[in-house]
Amino acid sequence: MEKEKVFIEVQVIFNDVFSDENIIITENSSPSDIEAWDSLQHIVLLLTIEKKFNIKFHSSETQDLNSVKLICNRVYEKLISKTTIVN
Amino acid sequence: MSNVITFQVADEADIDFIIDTIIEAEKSGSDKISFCNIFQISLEELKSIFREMIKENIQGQEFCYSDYIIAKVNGETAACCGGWVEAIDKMPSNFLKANLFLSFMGTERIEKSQFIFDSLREIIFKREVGTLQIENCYTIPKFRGMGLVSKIITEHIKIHKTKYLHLAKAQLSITKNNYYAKKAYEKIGFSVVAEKTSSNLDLLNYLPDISRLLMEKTI
Repeated sequence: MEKEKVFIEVQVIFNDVFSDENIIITENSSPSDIEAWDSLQHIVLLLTIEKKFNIKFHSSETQDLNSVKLICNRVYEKLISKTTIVN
Repeated sequence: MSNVITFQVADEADIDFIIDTIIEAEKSGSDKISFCNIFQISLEELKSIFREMIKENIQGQEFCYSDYIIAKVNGETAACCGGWVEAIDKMPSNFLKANLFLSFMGTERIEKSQFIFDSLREIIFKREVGTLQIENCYTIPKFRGMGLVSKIITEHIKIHKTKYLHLAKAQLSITKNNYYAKKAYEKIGFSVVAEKTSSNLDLLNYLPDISRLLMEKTI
């Protein structure tokens, strides 16, 4: 999957998790921009991302995930490494 | 002979005592262990999950052994208390904790617990960036009355003020019904600055109280 596609999927997940079609994320979006993005929604968000992309975050991989850009990059890295292992 | 009291930053060998501390603090004098109730797990399972979480030693939140100070009386472990400076060069503590729960509690348990999130959200205080956070203080009953928690908090202030020169405030949060803890913290200079109550009375099936207090102290 391309990086742009990861971003598009993450946008859909944000709208779904926050039950708000009006949330438009950018790479720089973070909990300080999206009021509803608190620690409890953060768990739901990452859990939904794990399920959607069929990946699992280790605790060491989530400690700095405080923006859309960092989340998308981490998802992309995990998808790439999964593809590499399969190949 | 007078007692010899010493203080040390906790290490891996103290993890079990820290787990007991977290659980006792969570109970707030009741018999309700909210984590067991919310995630529908036994105390033994909870302890095992906490052990793995705390071993990660991710600083800046309560599930991290090196953020705790242990008090020993005549060489015997007597009390401990967690403390860190909130969100300096890292994510807010509640997010760090959320990440740990996601990694160690397991997808199924997290999904099952989601029904309670809206009610929990009503009683969570947003911690102030750059303040000293005091969390999970506990003294073994036979060592009570020696002011150990107060002394540990003083140690936390001393250690963190050396690192963060502008540190000016300490915060802590307790359940409203924890009368003795409130009195003890007031005695050492903390005062209540905010109160939150959940509108969901069913929360009492899971937590010791549906109201929480935020207390602060200038340091």
